[in-house]
Amino acid sequence: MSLTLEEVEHIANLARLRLSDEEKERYRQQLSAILEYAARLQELDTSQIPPTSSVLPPRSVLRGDEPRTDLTLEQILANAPQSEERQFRVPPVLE
Amino acid sequence: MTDYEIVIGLETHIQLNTTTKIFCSCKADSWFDPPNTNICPVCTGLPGVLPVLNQAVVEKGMLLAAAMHAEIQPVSYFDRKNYFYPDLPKGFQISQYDRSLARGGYLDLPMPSGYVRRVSIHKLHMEEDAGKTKNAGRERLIDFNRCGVPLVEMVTGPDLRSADEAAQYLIRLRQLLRWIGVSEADMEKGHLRCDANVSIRPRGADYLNPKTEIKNVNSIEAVRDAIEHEAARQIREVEAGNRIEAWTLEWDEDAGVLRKMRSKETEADYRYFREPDLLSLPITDEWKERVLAGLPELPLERRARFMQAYGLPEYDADILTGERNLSDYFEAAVQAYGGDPKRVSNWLMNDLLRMLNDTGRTADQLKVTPQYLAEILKLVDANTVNTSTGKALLAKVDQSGKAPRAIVEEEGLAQVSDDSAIRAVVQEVLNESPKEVESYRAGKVTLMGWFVGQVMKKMRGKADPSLARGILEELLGGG
Amino acid sequence: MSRALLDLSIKEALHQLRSGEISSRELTQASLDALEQLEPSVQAFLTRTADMALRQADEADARYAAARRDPQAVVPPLLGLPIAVKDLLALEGVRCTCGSKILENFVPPYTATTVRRLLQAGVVVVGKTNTDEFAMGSSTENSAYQLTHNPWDLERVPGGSSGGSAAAVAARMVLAAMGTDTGGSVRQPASFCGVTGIKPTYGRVSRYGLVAYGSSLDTVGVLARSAEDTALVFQHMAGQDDLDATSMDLPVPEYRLEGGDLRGLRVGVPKQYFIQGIQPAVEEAVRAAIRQLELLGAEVREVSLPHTEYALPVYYLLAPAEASANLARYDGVRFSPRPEAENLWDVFFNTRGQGFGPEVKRRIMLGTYALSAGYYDAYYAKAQKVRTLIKRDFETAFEQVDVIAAPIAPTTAFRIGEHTDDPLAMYLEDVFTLPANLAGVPGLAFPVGFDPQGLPVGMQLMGAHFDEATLFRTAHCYQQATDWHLRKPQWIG
Repeated sequence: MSLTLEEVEHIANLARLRLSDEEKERYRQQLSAILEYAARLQELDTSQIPPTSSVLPPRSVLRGDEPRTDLTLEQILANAPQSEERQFRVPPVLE
Repeated sequence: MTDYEIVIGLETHIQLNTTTKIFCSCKADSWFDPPNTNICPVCTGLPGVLPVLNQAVVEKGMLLAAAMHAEIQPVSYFDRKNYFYPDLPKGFQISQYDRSLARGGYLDLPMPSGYVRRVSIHKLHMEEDAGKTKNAGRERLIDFNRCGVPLVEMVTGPDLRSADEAAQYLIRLRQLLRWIGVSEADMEKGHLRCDANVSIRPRGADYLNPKTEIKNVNSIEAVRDAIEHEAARQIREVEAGNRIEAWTLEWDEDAGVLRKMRSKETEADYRYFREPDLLSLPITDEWKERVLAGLPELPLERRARFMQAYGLPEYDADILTGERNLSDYFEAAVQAYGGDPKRVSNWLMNDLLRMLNDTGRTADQLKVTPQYLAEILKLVDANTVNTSTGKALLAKVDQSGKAPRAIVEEEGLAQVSDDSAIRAVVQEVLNESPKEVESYRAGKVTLMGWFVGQVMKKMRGKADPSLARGILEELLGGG
Repeated sequence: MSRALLDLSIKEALHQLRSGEISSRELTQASLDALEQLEPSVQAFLTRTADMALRQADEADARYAAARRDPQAVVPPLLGLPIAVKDLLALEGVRCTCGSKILENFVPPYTATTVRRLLQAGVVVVGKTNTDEFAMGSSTENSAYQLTHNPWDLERVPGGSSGGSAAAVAARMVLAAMGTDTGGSVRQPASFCGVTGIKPTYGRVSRYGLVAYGSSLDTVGVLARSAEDTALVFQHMAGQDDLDATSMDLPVPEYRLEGGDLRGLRVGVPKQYFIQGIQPAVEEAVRAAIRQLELLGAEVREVSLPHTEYALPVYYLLAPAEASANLARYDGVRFSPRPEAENLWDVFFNTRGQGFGPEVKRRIMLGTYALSAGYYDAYYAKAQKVRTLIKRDFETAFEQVDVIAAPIAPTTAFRIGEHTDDPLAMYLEDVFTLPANLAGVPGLAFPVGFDPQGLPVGMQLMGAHFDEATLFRTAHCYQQATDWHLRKPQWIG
């Protein structure tokens, strides 16, 4: 299972990762090896097996509708790399 | 020249009116608050936080599903919808993909020309809202107040056939949401957001052509206008021999034009997978029954019942099932009155509705309660007061909150039905207006109304007008 | 040197603190002095919180003093005990890097539930320990900040991702350290460093405040020098949390570790864990330990966990998939150093391209791929189904036995840099620990011997869901009859 460079670039794009050419090639090889190894799962017949998305049983875990003012507002804003007028600032989307 | 039909599907996002957000205990309504005041580590997606589901969100979702005649699922799941955007703090939205809260459903739209369009619902699911981005000069500012606000997304089938029908859908949906109390559905505040999918095809065809998506139209009028423009554009294009591309468009309300939007991701790959931080949501029959016991009779059902049981015309039934408080008021008044419901309807639609609109209130806020209205009607029926006094009583009761009978007594409003008293005043009026008497006897019979008015004026409105008229006719000689 | 205080067991230390024989300040100062002295070689800590620790110690001493005057007074159970916290767990006001540059300046405005509970129980926090970046790794070499060295041999790794915590305990800088285990990250470093560590049942302990890596696999655990000590701390971490919908509302039993023997205990030995490729010394020590359990009265029998070999491909599809979503929040908007960017997309691409290390990027891409259109069914969905098979293997086995005894890693601690160029080889280190995470069962690691180079060998006991009690009791019994857990690297002194 060998990934092409285009596939690596596509994934890196989906994941918003800027990669150097060298990185792209390196990951191409490494990911291909890992996926090759992962392909052995196809040996198993799972047609009658349900997927496990959680090891816990289904359960209604619900919260009441009472509001709580969070005391951490200022600290949340304090972590921002750039902010203005209580809002987080980012550059525009350019074409 | 081909006859085209327009095919429209609508996708709406409905903001539920719970007190807190869907996955955290922040206040959900930030309309009056400065940016980034109703936020916490959970809704701003800080490292290490986890979502916990708000019970009220599920219950309002269940009410909405039932009102849309959809099947509430015994188990449903949340999923992560993955994409990057600065107002989406986690880099994914917690939504529901293939096993959502409810399946199926429909909404009936009675159209003015008499037919009913049934719109099928293809998707009904719960999800969290994202934040808001604002342009500020060259940069953009992000406010996370809206992040985590609970939404229900509903997607219709491609069942609408005109811009008017689309508008009706939103009108009926808005009415329904307010009626069952799950959303304020104020489009200006973004409580009800709509995207429209539009395509055209030759009338009678059963296949679907490529559609365009018109995003974020913010009022019912705008939906109508945008769809009309887009349908016209598509027809022009097709007539010119061009293909319709699956564009995403936005409607510029001021300029009245559609603009092609930059495609954010060519084909977004949302990589949906089950949300591991939330367990699957089982809804037991007991829970469902308990919640749905709170589902009121729905507007269209009640409308039909009003027409059938009360013999009301469609026009009246429509108005009297437009808004829940008014509707409940009407029904209570009819019960209290016991007489002809149409009479109650007239007074409600003509006088009380005006009072409500003038003072910006809902019917439950009136001091003239349904019982008081019934009392006033009975007073008029019994000729204790005349109709115009009766109408004046509405305002008086609403101001003072006192019972109609009490006011009638206090202010001596009882109608005068004493023949001799009225006769004396009639005689006075005739004596004072010889010219009019002459005109009347010469044939200008329309002056009768004037004469009655003069008598009423002199008697401060308390005369029984039909008696007055009778005496006038007698003394004037029948005209 | 007050260093001897750090040789005390937690049980003994608490006893002496209560009686006034020692003060928390003395104990905490001893811990801070040990850090001063040993950190240049070990490098287990990313952040030291000396001022906070001494303040907490003084508060503890005041409370003890008040309690000694008032015999009715109830003292928090772990009052005055110096511990370390893995830098993946939020502690309000203290930098939390997760071993990554992308969180270089992040100061959480809140505290993880588990940390908060231990603070309420009275602990003193001396610092945040080193970790593989976002818990992704088996050696702590993936930390963007520093290498941690195994106290038993400074040229070797302490294991990972809780390498900092394991090293801190092994080097006797603290009496206990919090760790996390998603694929073995408590048990494997415990094994490499010769300490005891618990990976709880998934759902036993709150994940609120644990920076997420693999949400359906992550657990918060603790490392100390004995099962008894580990249980003493674990007792106060466990339990349902309203802020974590995946924490179970089952009561936490009192983990009483009485003496006695293991009669009536059925121990399963999974044949799939004793394969070719295990270092002989590892197999030898583990088998000897199993024999010891037998001598203590346990009944030992072979069990089969037939899908064990598939745990690795399942894990390396599911965990990265969840991680690819969990790490999407690191976009440079709300926290993170933001490199220069003209354009919004550059903010995302550059922040992430520069802020994440290679292993993290690798796993994000692996996960993104496994979830992407056209590949979801063959990779992610398939892996979820095989996970069901692995979970069922354990359920079947626990119908016949009470605990399963197995090696933790195929080798003892490897050299720093040995696997850096071969990610897959690194992943193969995890073969024995991954299944427990996939099944959600608890696992307790403890030392059972040394290899010819003097490197520790650990063994794990895995138990049925929510049966940490049997694991603690069994290991405690073993530790009463053996002394591997009492050994100390000679140079520490």
